[in-house]
Amino acid sequence: MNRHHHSATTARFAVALVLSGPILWAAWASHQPIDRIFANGSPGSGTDAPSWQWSNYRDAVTRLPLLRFVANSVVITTAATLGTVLSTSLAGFAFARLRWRGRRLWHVVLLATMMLPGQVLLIGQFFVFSRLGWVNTYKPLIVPAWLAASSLAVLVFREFFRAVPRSYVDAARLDGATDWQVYWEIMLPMSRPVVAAVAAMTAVYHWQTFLPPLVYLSDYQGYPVSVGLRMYQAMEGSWANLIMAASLIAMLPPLVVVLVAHRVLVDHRPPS
Amino acid sequence: MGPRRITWVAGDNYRALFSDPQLRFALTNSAIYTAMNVPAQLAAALGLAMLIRRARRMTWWITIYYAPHALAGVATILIWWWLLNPQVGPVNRTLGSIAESLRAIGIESVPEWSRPLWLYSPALAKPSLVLMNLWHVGGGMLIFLAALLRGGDVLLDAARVDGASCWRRFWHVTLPLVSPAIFFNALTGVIYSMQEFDQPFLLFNYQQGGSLQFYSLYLYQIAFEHQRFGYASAVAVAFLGAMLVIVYSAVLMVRRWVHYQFTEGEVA
Repeated sequence: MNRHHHSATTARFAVALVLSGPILWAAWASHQPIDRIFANGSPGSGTDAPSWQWSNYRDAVTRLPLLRFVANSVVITTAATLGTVLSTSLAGFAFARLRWRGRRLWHVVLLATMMLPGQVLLIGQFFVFSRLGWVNTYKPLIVPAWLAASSLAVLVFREFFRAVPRSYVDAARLDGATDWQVYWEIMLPMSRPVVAAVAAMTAVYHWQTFLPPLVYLSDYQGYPVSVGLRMYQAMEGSWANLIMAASLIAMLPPLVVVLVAHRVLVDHRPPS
Repeated sequence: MGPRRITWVAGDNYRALFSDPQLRFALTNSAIYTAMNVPAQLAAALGLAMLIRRARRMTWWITIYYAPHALAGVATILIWWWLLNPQVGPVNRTLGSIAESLRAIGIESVPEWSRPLWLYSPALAKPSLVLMNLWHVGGGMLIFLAALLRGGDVLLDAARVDGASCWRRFWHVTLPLVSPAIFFNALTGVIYSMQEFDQPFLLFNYQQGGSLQFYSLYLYQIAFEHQRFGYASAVAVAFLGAMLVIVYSAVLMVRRWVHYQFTEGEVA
């Protein structure tokens, strides 16, 4: 039993090592001169003294406007995440706590849209947004988020709000609270862990998403970091170390989000 | 840029679907990739979940194994593109040094595996993508873990007391326990894999023989490169129809096999 325990721990560390391998290699390559990557390929295989070329990071942010891409991504991600949290929690509240005609039907519709492949919608959405004159603006990337486009987030909020004991709502109603006050002053403050989880997942999603900005944006000055990174790839071969530096910079925000939110995200208490 | 004029063409776009060899080629590629990717993802995600289900400091392990899932994006595709570089990538360097040491101990006939072409090889391009995806199975792992932690210990302990072997415990307890999670992960995996876009788009220039010409890429090409929005819409709607058929038949097929009422109360 004890030996089994040890081998399991060893296996866990081995997997963690394998998973961190690509990042570690990228971190090594990101501050090497390019000929060293071509000559040695992996850390520790060379015998000469290590050379740390930190200027790669400076080159990565100056040869292409990487910091501008990052700033664009911050704008899009922040706006879309704020909109998603507000609109999906409001929709989830309506599904969980309000009585209205067709509520059950729309719940089924909501579930069905989760299975809808995103690319099926892309063509039609592009048509609509180009008619609205929204192409080459951030509106197609942000406005849907403010209209509760994420059905998964709506369902998560619905399930949470349904589990809130009735007595809370009843007590508030006795004090004369409106629906809006119940949502804003009772439900939302109570659902802080759910808000954090939805916000973290949404932020990571909007940071990484590639196809919609690729389709809607044509001026490279407005690119988010996902589409901007592609310009490094287009520069080919000898930029490998700069590509690694730029990639690591691009991965830093989602990493921070995961580390900050991990307690909320991975709350593994079994449901009682 | 963008659609300008709308002309009514009746069913022309849908008839064209059936006489489009490129569409058939792209769908076949996507289907082959999906058939490789989904089982690999399921096995790896379940494996990771089983590995840490009894670990102390579980949240710590979850964070480590889940982190690649949040990091995965264009940046990690570019990193993997270099990791798998046939000449200077560290993966082939490692394989090369293994082959070297095999030669040192007298095994002369080092086969071709020591220098695979990965994305540049028609046969290995899709497995390369599958390998890249294995790196970020953390999302699927979370779902398996939730299923395993739902009363699984009681059942497994009971099976162990009854003298069930390791394999029988896996086959008769663990698999039925996680069968709803397998179903969910497989279904979403098929839907996502059939739409895989970022990887084939970014690595498209390095493929040989159209091995990464996937359905989603073809859809992008006809819509946004050739501006054929009408036909692209028909392709997208037909794809939606195919997905609905797959999802519905999957639901019918596995209804007998998936255990939804498998909880602690049942064994007590």
